[in-house]
Amino acid sequence: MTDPRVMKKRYRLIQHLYGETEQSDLPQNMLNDEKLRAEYLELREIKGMLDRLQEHASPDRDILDRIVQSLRPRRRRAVIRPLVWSMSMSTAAAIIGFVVIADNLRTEVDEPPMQSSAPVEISWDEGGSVVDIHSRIELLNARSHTGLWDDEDILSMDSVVLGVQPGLEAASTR
Amino acid sequence: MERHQDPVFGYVLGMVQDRDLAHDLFQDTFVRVIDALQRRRGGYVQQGRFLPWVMRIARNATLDHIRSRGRRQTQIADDGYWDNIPSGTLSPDHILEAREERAWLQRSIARLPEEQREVLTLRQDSELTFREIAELTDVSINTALGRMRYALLNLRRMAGKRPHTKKKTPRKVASVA
Repeated sequence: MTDPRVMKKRYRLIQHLYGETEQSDLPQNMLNDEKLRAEYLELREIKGMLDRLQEHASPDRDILDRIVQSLRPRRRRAVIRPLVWSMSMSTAAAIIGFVVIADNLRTEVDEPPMQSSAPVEISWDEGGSVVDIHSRIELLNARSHTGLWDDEDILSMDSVVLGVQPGLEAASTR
Repeated sequence: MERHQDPVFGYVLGMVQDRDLAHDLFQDTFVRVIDALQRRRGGYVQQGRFLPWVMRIARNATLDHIRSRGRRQTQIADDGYWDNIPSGTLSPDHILEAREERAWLQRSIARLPEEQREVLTLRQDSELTFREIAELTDVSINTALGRMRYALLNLRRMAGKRPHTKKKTPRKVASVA
């Protein structure tokens, strides 16, 4: 069995050989030991041969291109998979949206029109009767400002407000 | 990734000693690295160094392959791995001699026990420190150093048995520092 202290010194020779010790020179006590000294010379000789003959090997220049090529189908799958997923999600969202809208429309049809508390948006109707009423109101307004009231105007206003023809009286008011 | 490809490839090639197979394992390693980086699973959190983490993945891929093939000692490929190493501007005699030496070295390293070959390759080719090698291979630093020592001494022994070995380094050196 080799003395652990001797083995430690031998390991230190290896470290020194490869420049992994803090000191650049071997300690004097190791140099004075003939066995250690002889071993160091042997090791240094073979390391010199390795350094000389065993040059760094490099892979083929196109090796990285080949690796990228080999990864391409995987990447395409990786791109397609989220695309299919997002399309499925969009389709599902559209179906859900359609169902919700259809359900709302059915509810609106079922409900009475005036029960909604939401303000009713009034849009201008181009229908002839409405235009006619509007023009009459405008006419009345213009005349009321000038104070030119006459029977014809009053009759016209009655027809607008009461919805009756001039000269006729509603049966309910008799 | 490009920065780390040489140490990783050097390790894989040193372990399997077959350039085509080393390319396959290298590719497998970096696919695993990219997968791990994308999933952020079981992997690299930017606390440690990137290279030892990649080396661990390369080691797993390499050892998986070696063990799946059921051989502890990989065969030496005859695809002339060493022929691919540029020889510089040497004369034809020197080129031939260097090629022979390299072929011998390749065979000798292949004959080393797997653990010794691994530490040798990690230190020589991948330039990991012995501490990093110890962490990577799940052994103490003394064990890693011991394996390296035996690897070098075994190679030295094999060189001594080699016919026509030229002693290029004198045995007696004035200073070893």
